[in-house]
Amino acid sequence: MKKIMAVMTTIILTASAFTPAYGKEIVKNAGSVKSENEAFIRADGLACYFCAYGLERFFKKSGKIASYDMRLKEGIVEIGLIKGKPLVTQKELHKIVYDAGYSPRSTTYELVGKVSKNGDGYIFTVSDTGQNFSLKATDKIASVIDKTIRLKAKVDKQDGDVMYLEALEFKIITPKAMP
Amino acid sequence: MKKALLSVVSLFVLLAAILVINQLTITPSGELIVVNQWGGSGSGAGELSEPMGVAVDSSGFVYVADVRNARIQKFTPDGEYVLEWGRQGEGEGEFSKPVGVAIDANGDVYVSDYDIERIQKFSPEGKFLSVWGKSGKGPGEFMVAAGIGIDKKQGALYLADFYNKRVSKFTLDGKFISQIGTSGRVFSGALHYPTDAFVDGAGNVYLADSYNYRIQKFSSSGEFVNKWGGPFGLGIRGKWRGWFYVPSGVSVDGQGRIIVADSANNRVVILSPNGKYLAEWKSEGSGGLYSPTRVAVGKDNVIYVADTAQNRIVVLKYKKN
Repeated sequence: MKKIMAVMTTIILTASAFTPAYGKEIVKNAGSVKSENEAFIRADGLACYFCAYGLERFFKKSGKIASYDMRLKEGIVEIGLIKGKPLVTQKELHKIVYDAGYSPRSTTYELVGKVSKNGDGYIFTVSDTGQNFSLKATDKIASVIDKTIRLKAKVDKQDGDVMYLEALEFKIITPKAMP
Repeated sequence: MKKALLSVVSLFVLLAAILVINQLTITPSGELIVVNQWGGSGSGAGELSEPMGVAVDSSGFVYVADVRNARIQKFTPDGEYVLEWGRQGEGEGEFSKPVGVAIDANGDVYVSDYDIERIQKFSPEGKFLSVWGKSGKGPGEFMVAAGIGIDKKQGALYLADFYNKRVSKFTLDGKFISQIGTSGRVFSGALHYPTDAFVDGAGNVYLADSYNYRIQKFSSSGEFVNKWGGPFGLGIRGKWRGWFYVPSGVSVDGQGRIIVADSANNRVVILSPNGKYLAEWKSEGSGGLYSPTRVAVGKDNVIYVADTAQNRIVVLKYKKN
């Protein structure tokens, strides 16, 4: 039995060496005024220009997206969120991607704002919109409380329109001067 | 139990062996050579921004759907700029994303638009002649005309209806005739996001069944004839010989060879008239193709490739015809 498994593993590894690579192109486009906040969605099936155009069509129709870069090689859509408007939730983004004919997978946000303590947990306030999000994070984040940071986070859970974030990475940044 | 397991493993080993041998014996790219290329990123005359649809008329002029520039450009067979028409908009003669172009027996040019459900007809000089099309799911309606092909003898237009996952046949003035294929996977005639249609001289219809990773052939009356891509044309993606990964464009040359823009594999593949793998063009590095989405055949079986991500048209020729 072990021999059989070894043979099958060898064959699978040999075959996987020849698995196809994605294209290398990037499709770009832009819409309304973009904030410094972004969302990144990995979508299955996003491998050609027809898919990219399909997503563009649905993004434009939604009116909720400022810009979008499609990294077809990785199957990732980088979404610029609209300045001054509430963040588009993961649920909303996934619906757009799904309606466009693709399967949304992981979503992450990169947001500029400040962390504050809230009982045993933390709150992240987005600078651009003033929205507050409950934030799950390790105690490392205590070192940047009240400092402006760029936070990379995934959605821990979403109840209705309310998202709960989980910190993945963060770094202190210098806030941009107001015009 | 042991016997059954051994049978399954034997079958698995046999299939894997076939795949490995197939890959190892792949025909080198040397069957085709690049003889010309033109374009380059930009919006000036002759420059291109995501070229997609490409078609050749009976005089050898090449029409290119220049998507991001929202225009059609016409070139000589050698790539000299002749003229252009169109601009961004939704009015007559305007485009949002022109992705498909085809030419009828009179030399008139038909253009499909990704963002607007309509087909526009122009003279060879770009004069607007007519428009038709309706968004929807009903018979004769469509959701994204990703690609079009024209049966010059019958005077019919086939439209790859991307989101409805079917192909519709119309008269040249837009009257719905019939439907080819239905939404689905694996089975013959099932379509999953088709992106292109081509009609050969005998009226056979070749469909780029992109997300079933295969090419399907139908008779002029719409009956399924054959399918190619992956094992038994079942619709499994890959880069092996005879496999595809988003084959988004298809054409057929004067000898019946089937030319496929194998988009996500960044190559052009040539099949014999009965679907046997013959050759491919895929050059790694700066000379290679990135997202070639459409192909068209010119005089002497020269192949024009819309190398979409690199904003150029690449011209390929057989070393030996």
